[in-house]
Amino acid sequence: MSKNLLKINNLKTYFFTDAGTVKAVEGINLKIAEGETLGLVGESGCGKSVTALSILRLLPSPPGKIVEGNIEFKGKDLLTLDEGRMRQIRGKDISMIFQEPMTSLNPVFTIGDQIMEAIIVHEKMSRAETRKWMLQLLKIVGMPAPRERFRSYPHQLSGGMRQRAMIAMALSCHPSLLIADEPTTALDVTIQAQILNLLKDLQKKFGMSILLITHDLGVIAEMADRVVIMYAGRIVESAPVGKLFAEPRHPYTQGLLKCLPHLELDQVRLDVIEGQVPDLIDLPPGCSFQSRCQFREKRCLQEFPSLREVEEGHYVACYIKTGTKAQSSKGTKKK
Amino acid sequence: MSDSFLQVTNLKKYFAVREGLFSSVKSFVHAVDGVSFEIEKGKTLGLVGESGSGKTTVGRVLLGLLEATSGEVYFEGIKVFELKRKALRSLRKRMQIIFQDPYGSLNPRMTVGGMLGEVLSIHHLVRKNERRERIAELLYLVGLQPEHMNRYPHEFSGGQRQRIGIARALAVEPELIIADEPVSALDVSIQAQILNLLQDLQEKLKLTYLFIAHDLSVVKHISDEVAVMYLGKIVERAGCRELFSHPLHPYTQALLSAVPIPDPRRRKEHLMLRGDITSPIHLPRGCRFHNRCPQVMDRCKKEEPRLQKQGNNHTTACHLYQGNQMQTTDKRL
Repeated sequence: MSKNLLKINNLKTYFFTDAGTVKAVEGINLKIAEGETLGLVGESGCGKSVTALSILRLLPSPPGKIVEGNIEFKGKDLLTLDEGRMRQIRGKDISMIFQEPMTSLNPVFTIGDQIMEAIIVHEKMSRAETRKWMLQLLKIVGMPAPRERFRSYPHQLSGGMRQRAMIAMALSCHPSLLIADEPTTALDVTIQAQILNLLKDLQKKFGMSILLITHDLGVIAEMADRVVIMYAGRIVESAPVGKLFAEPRHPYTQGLLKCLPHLELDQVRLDVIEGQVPDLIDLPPGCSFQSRCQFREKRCLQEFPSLREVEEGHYVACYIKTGTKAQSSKGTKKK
Repeated sequence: MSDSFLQVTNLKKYFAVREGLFSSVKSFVHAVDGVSFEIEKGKTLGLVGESGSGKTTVGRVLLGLLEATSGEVYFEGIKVFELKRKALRSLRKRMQIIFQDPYGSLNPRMTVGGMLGEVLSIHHLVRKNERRERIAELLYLVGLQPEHMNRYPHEFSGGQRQRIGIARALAVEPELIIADEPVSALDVSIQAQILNLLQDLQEKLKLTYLFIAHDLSVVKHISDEVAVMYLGKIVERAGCRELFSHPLHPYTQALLSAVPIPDPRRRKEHLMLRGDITSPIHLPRGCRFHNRCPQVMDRCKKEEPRLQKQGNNHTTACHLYQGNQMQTTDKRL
């Protein structure tokens, strides 16, 4: 595989609140290769957005704080950079698309001004050149009538158009890493399909890596090369996309895939994962999924199982799958 | 007029758009523009559409939360819109709603027991000394514990809050439940729990559901029949299996094609629609879908298609199938 663009080592991000310390991200390791799309999946509160904000050092602080670990981007540790250097990277080398385009765009500036701002800050371009590039960008992201639209304010655009404007802004300085945090969750399915297609095309054109954060396994199946599943602040499984869907190893991943209603299957009843996500303030010792896991054993209550490679590129943090007898029974049953 | 459980005929709801100094009515939002359907007792009709299609407005009008501009709703043959206040109130007991947002739809200052108790006392349902018992029973019914009675909404997770919302709706022993995006704010693992609960309750209490949602996989899972809405109109309607296996209207086809399938071996080319949903204020002439339709014809720009039967309980409003109606029916047989 090609070179690693981003490497996260043992990242721990905590929120220090009055109620106690919320261990939002508890020691995760991640790699994103050049040109790769990494899907980061998990339910609300699992730490996927906090991971993204940690990379960009945009955590609300206090109460949020990165307490341990490092984030290497192109060989440099982002966590040791001063704010000025970090600002040069944000929006240029690493840019981000947020879930809600309405709240992430500034309502009192036109779309054009907001896109041009990033270009003016990061690139040495004349005003005329900037304008030309911006119009070209709006055309690339499929904004209808870009010449008129760049004078519009966010409220004058539809949800899909706002998301296109955000994408244009994120791409304006040729980032090598695009972080997309639930980029289509607020959109209708027909618009979602347009935006996902657009992201795929742009990735080819610009050759960037994408960190795609979502809870929608359909979107992941369609977009990602590799998938990382998070649960309660930890990575529980990571694998190439085909492997993950064909042979999920962690009971949580298996549960997630089984509880989806499928468009193409006739299901009388849905499988469920009983219970709910544990409170991150006082996580029980041991595996964070044990309270909902049907394969729970004694040792699951004692220590969190570390990620182990069960096959090339397929990692799972579970005692049961990596033990020999359970592996054969469960692994083959799924097929 | 009809023996079906719930019948809606030619329902319209326009919202006035006021502008200018004297707030004069300048134009109308055609949120619901002539919708007709019926639901049989004990069945589920799924109402699908994108934002702005008018699906939520249909639900609100049915419950009388919004006043209809025109049209009729018959509930077991009773004309709902002609009822006086008192009669309407007793009818309200028979139809209830479950909202999308379990955070916004519960009063944060009331305990769960207080909320359910209020419903019971307003409708004079149980005697005061039996109230606690009934509340405990309701909580048990939706998979919560009786001791949850004394807690406030913020002490619950999203899934549990939705269960409370369902318990509140069930408190009056309704026959019809309008579920407006009941699972779209929930995580997938919780979504499955709530969908199963709704199915169990339907069986146990013989409920009839109008299930409003934008998520096609969810609608397919829970519905017996499905109606697809676009810009205030139903464009296609059929039995659930029929609609998902043989979608006729180009909009339904595009909608189905746009859903990402959670299986990477089946990455597919989507049938891509151009543009966004049109403004419901300035409706296009002819078919409302014609400016986004991949199979648009000249006729679509001039003439609005009407809902027509295309075989076994399958209706669609599209010129592609009109005129050659017999032919299509033959092919299907």
